[in-house]
Amino acid sequence: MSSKVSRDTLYECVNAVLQSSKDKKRNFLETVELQIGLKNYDPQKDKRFSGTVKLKYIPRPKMQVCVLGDQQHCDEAKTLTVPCMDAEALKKLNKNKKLVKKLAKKYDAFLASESLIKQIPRLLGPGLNKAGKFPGLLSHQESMTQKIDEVKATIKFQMKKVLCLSVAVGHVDMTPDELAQNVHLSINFLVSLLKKHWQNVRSLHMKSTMGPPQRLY
Amino acid sequence: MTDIIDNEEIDKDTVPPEVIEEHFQKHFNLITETAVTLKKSFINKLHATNSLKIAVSLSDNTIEVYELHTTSLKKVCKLSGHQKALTEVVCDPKEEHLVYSAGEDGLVKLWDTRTSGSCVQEYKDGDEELVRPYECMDVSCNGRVLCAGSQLVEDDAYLVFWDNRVTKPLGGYWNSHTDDVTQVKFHPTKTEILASGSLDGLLNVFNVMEQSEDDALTYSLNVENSVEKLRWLDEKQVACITQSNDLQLWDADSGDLLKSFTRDKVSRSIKRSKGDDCYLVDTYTSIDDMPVVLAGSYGGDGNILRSVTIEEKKLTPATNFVGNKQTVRCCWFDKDRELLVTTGESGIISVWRAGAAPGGPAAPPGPAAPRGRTAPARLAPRLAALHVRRKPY
Repeated sequence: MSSKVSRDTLYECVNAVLQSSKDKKRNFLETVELQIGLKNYDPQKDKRFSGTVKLKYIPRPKMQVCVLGDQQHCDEAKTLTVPCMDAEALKKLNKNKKLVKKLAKKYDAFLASESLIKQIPRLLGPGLNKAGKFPGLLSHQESMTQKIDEVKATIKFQMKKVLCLSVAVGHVDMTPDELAQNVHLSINFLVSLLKKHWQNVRSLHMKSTMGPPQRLY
Repeated sequence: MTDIIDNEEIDKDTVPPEVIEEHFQKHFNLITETAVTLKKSFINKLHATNSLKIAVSLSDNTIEVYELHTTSLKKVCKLSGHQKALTEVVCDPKEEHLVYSAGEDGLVKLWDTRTSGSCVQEYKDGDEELVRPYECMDVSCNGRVLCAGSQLVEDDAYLVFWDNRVTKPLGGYWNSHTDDVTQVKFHPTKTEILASGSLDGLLNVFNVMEQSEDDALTYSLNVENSVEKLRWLDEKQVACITQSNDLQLWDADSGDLLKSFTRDKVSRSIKRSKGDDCYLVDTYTSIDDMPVVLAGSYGGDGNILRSVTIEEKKLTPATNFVGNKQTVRCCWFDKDRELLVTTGESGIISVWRAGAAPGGPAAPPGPAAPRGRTAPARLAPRLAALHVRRKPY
C-alpha cells in the first residue's frame, strides 16, 4: 500500500482552488473540475473505458430535473414542487420536433416512471435521445427526492481518443471537506476503471473554471 | 479522511484450487491454438461461420481468415486494404466465403476468400465531403441488409444501411444516438429488428422496415453507461456489457431490464478477490440454452479466464479455462459442436472444446486429446519471447 496523494496535498490543492476563487469573485458559480492525464495507454488498441459514479455532494446544484410520471409520480412531484409532465401532456407534443427540442432544452435531465419510459420513443420520437437526455428510470420503490439528488450527483468519466480527460467534481461554494471528499471518491473510481490502475495515471490536476490549475499528482 | 492510496493487493483466487475444480464443473479442453504473428498484435474482433471459418482483425488493419480442421488451424488468406483502423469483421451468414469489414476510413468492404483475398465490393455512404469513421457493422440474418454504426461526426452519430448488392446506401438514422455507435446487431432470425449500442449509454431497438427513423425506433433502453458489447441470446433477450464491465440483460420485446450484475459480482462469481481487475469478454448461449458470460482477470499473470452461467438471480460457476495465455478480447461459440474460439491481446487464436476433465474418462474423440496437449507446449517458448517484448515499461 503506497500513498499516491496524501491527505495534506489534497487539502492544500482544495484550499488553493477555493482561495483563488475567493480572491477574484466571478459573476457565476465556478465549477471545480478534475483533470487527468494518462500514460501507457494506446487509445487505438486498448479498450476504451467509461463509467459513472455517484458523488457524496452534488457538484451541479443548479441542475433541473423533470419527472415524466404516471399519476402517482405526478402527484408526488407536485407536492415536492418538482417539475413534472404526464403521458397526456407528452401526447400533446405530438412528436413535433420543435416542441420536443424545446422541452429537452428546458431541463438538464429527465426521470420517467416505469410505465412511461418504454413509451417515450412512441410518444416523442428520438428527440430526447438527440439532446442526450433520455430519461432514467424512476421506480415506485425509491424516494423521488433521493433519486433526483442521485441524478444530480452522478458524474461520467469518458475517455475519448486523447490521453486526457476532465470531469466536474464540485463548485467553489462547497466546503473544503466536501470538495476533498468528492475528489477523493472520483480519483479512486477512475483508478478502478484503468486496466493497470495507478500505472496508467500520468498526472492529476484540479482547477476552478477561471482559476489556475493545482497539481495533485 | 485518509490519503489516496494505491491498492496493491494482487488479484487471486478466493478459494483453494480443489474447490475451483469442484465449482467449475463444465470442462473445456484446449484443442488447438495458433499465434497469428510474432509481432505484438492485438486481435480486437473475431467472427466465424458455421463451417468453422474464422476471421480475425489484427491491429495492423488486416484480416486473417483461418479454417479449423478437426484439431488444427490452417490459414486461408490475409485481407488487407483498409487505410485507417479496422473496427469490425463479419462473415456473411449465407455465403461462407464472403467476409465484410468496416473501418475508420469510412468504408465497408466485402472480401472473397476464394480469390486469395481480394476486395470485391466497396460500400460508400454517398457523401464525398464527409468521412464517417465506422466503429461497428453487422449483416442481417438473410445476408441482404448491411448496417454500419459511425463515430460522432459534426455532432451526429450515424447508422447507415445498404442492400448488399448495391454500393450506394439505402439510407441512415442519425437522431437516436448522441455519441459513437459502438455496436449494431441484427436479430438472429428477424431481418427487420436491429439493436444498437452507443457511448451515450443507450441501447436502441429498431424496426428497420418502418418508413422513418421516428417510427423505426421501438425502444430506447437506458443502460446508463457506455455500451461495449451487445449480443442477442435468443429471440428476445439482448445481453449488454458496459465499458465499466457491468452486465445487463434486456427483453427487446417488452423493453424490460431482466437482470443486472455489477463487475464486483461477476468477479466474486469467478472466485477472484479484486473486482477492479475483472473484465468481461462476451456472452453466449450454452448447449442447454442458458446464457453464459465469459470473464477474466488482468491481475496476476493475466491468464485467468472463466465462465459463469446466468441464472435467475445469480451467477453459477461453469468453466475454468486452463491453459489460457492472454487477455481475451472476444469469443465465438458454436453451440452445436460446443466449440469456443477465443482471441485477444497476445494475438493468439485458441479453440476450446467441451469434454471430460483431463485424466477423466475420454469423452472427446480420440485424436483431439493428445494434440491438445502438445500444441501449447510447442507454443510456449515463442510466447515467452513475446512477453519480454510486450513489457511497455
